[in-house]
Amino acid sequence: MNDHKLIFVGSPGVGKTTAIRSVSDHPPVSTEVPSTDETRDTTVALDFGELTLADDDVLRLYGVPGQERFEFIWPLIADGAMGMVVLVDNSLPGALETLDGYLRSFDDFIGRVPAVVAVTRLRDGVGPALSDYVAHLARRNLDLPVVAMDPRERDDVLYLVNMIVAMIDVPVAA
Amino acid sequence: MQAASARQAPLEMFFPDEASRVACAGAIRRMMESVPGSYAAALATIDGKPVIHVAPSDWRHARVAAIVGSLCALGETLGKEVNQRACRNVLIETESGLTVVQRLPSPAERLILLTTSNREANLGVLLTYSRTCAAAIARLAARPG
Ligand SMILES: Nc1nc2c(ncn2[C@@H]2O[C@H](COP(=O)(O)OP(=O)(O)O)[C@@H](O)[C@H]2O)c(=O)[nH]1
Ligand SMILES: [Mg+2]
Repeated sequence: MNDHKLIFVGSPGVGKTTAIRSVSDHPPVSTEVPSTDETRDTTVALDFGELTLADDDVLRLYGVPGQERFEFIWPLIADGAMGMVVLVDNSLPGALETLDGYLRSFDDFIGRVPAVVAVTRLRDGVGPALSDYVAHLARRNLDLPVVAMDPRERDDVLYLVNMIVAMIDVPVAA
Repeated sequence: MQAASARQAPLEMFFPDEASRVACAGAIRRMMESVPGSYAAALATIDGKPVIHVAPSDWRHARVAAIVGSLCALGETLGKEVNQRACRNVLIETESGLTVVQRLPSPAERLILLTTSNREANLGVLLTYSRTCAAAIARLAARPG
């Protein structure tokens, strides 16, 4: 049995905690507290869930707090990750620039471990289309899968997780 | 209502008037004077923002507040995970000192007090005055929202 660490990064409210909750075998460890900025609760340390795969391998799922002030904890949580999901909220203005920020913060992972861009709150005619994300990444010489995901839907999250697992198993050419 | 407070800095949100801010800083200073070896204290929100501090000039307050927010949540989460109730504080002991992180009592449970001292401090004394200080600040703080 092997275990693999997968981390979820992205802005506050994008759906990291929800995505991990949707697929975790057990109720995840969560560290949500009332936010002083908004009515929603916000993660201040980490999310942690586990997902057992078909071959008894275990995926350890970690979510980071999205706000930049928690940047200190990002490398601590990301250490040893074998895959990364970058979530982007398509309903917020500046979604592509927000994505750039996270790509920069985690640039020593992206390119080294499999990463997928998961676009949440995708609606026709609002914000960039998936193809805009692909083109945007291509301009940065990044060839990452871009998928739409509703973090509340277990199947959506499983689809994405399976995609990354497949990428982990295939040795990445140096 | 919520939107108005969202644009407020945490200090103004919890201590809307100058008098309460001065009293809060006073409570922190009195605590530090009562604990030999105490060299810094800081108040942060539970979501990791700096509120007020009495600390050396090289402290990076934004980082300290964010770490305090994470640590307090992890302490409470670990306490529950090992079947304990009502986390009182998170205690860090190092070769060079002691640090206590605790949530303020009601109605200021959205604030966290950090107190830190060098090896000179006695743990019991530090804990006692930290708790007293936390209670005093809680009486001064306004409930946000
Ligand atoms: N309608 C809709 N709601 C979403 C979508 N993605 C996330 N949400 C909701 O937005 C909130 C996201 O919160 P959370 O998971 O805590 O975000 P985090 O800060 O990234 O951990 C939850 O209430 C989700 O149900 C989406 O694609 N569509
Ligand atoms: Mg979260």
